[in-house]
Amino acid sequence: MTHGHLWDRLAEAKTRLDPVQSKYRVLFEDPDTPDEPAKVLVPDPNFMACALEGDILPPIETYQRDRSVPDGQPKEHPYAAPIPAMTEEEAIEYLIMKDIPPNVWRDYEGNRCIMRIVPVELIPSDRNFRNAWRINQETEMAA
Amino acid sequence: MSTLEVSNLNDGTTTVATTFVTGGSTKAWANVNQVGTTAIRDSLNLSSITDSGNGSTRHSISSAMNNELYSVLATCTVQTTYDDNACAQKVTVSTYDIYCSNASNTVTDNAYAQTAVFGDLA
Repeated sequence: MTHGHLWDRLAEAKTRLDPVQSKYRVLFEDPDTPDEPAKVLVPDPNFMACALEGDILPPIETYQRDRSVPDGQPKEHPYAAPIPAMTEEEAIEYLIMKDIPPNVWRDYEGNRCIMRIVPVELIPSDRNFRNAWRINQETEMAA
Repeated sequence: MSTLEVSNLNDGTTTVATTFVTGGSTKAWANVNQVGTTAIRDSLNLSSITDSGNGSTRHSISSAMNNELYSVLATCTVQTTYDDNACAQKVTVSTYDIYCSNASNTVTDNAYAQTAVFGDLA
């Protein structure tokens, strides 16, 4: 059975799945740009719905292999066979490996904590001094 | 899901190729609230956004574009004056940034940071 193109599956899923707002955010700092503030990854609600539903998203390894494919050349992830349903926590791990640079989650060897998965309530809604946010190194507080 | 394979569409008077429709439709779009706790109101073909600082949001696409010749349109809502504006910057075939600014050209969070992506999918 053909599974078609990823975009077609995403567009079709949007017509039948309710969006899912994740209870998690991912705080991270890029070691290549130490002067920039901490960044906050926000999962897309439609992506989360697809991840929890299953049989829509491609294996994460296809995205990683496609990073080395030159622009304009055929990519693997749009046509790869979809994977089964994930838990919300597995979906967050998938997003970290897909959307956060590997130098943050894989290659970093320093002592400083530069990435943390936190409940959304720990992200400050007061954005005064937003460009000075750093990950707190001493407690479980988010920023 | 069934598939209809046609090369052209005709409304009785005008005929257009189906590629006219598929090539011209948006491949990804997003409506983002940058104010307070950053959130996505609705979207198509996005996996996540990253709040990078005041008025700055990176968008990550699920089904990547074919090359970096694609086009991103960015708009924002009027918050204080009609001089509020937004601009987009492509980063890779699967990521792009939006920067919203106020009348003083200071990058500022906007309640409706909106983008649409046109071009060819990978």
